[in-house]
Amino acid sequence: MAIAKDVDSDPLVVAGMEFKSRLWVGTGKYKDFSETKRAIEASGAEVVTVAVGRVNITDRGQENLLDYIDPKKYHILPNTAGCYTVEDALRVSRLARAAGISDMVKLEVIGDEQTLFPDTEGLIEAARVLVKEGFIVLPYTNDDPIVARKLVDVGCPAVMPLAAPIGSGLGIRNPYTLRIILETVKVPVIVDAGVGTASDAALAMEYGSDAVLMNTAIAGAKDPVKMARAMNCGVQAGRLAYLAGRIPKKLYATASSPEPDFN
Amino acid sequence: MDIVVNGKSYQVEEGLLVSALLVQLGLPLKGLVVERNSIIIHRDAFDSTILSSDDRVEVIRFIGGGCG
Repeated sequence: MAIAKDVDSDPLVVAGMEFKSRLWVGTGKYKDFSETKRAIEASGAEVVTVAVGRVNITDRGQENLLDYIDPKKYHILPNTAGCYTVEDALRVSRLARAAGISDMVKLEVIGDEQTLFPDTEGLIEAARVLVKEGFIVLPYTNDDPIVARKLVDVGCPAVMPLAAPIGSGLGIRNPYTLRIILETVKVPVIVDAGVGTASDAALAMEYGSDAVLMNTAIAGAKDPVKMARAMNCGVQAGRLAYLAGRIPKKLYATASSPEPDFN
Repeated sequence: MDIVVNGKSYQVEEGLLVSALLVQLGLPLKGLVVERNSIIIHRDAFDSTILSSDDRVEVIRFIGGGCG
């Protein structure tokens, strides 16, 4: 559901793949798979992140996420969530690729349980290895322009800096640093994590980010389906505003009507 | 012989194929990834890979997740 037709002629291109929607969404924390499906439909997202986990052998009746999120309809993006070491992240990436759906991986190497901030040293190392193995590596990184540049240097076709800690809903904490990243790298910048509500997503897009990825902000809302739609609108509005070019901020008023000339 | 699947011990017959293990566990052959002693077994090899005693098998699939 494009709210404006301008969006149709303004695709996001990542690693040669074209996407109409600039909102990417996760599949965690929903009440059930039916809610996941309805929220993702409302979000308009085409790229959907998933995690990799053990099959529950004792509960065979357990439903499969991919029965609800059709890999033919959505671009499934596996992530290495929960990986705290380079080795773990490599292992999960390889397992995800073996599922035969995509060579794309959202690479996370988490540095700390409380903040879930990326371990950027491990991230660059893991990215280097995976790129050599032919993966399309989309790294979840800190809002650090130098790290972003290094990730591009090792072959990442996009970077995914956080807005704020995962699940915090704080919105973009370092807008100026994000803007430096946008000027530093020539690849798509996808703001990943920390968005709280639609205005945060719009703001990320107004700064010139190429896309926004979120999970908790939608899944954790009182009405996830409605919030998914709000995020869809927010991302599109922000993108349009960015393309339109906002007016500069000024300290004093500028009248928008001419002076009366009929005295 | 004894093997471990997803952290749980199982007693299975000698010479069990990976595909037969999945059938015995009531799991579909599609949409799964199998790792045996930390080495990925490709789907095409499910029918030709024979499990050995004390093998550690992980059966993995995609689950809900976003970040973290």
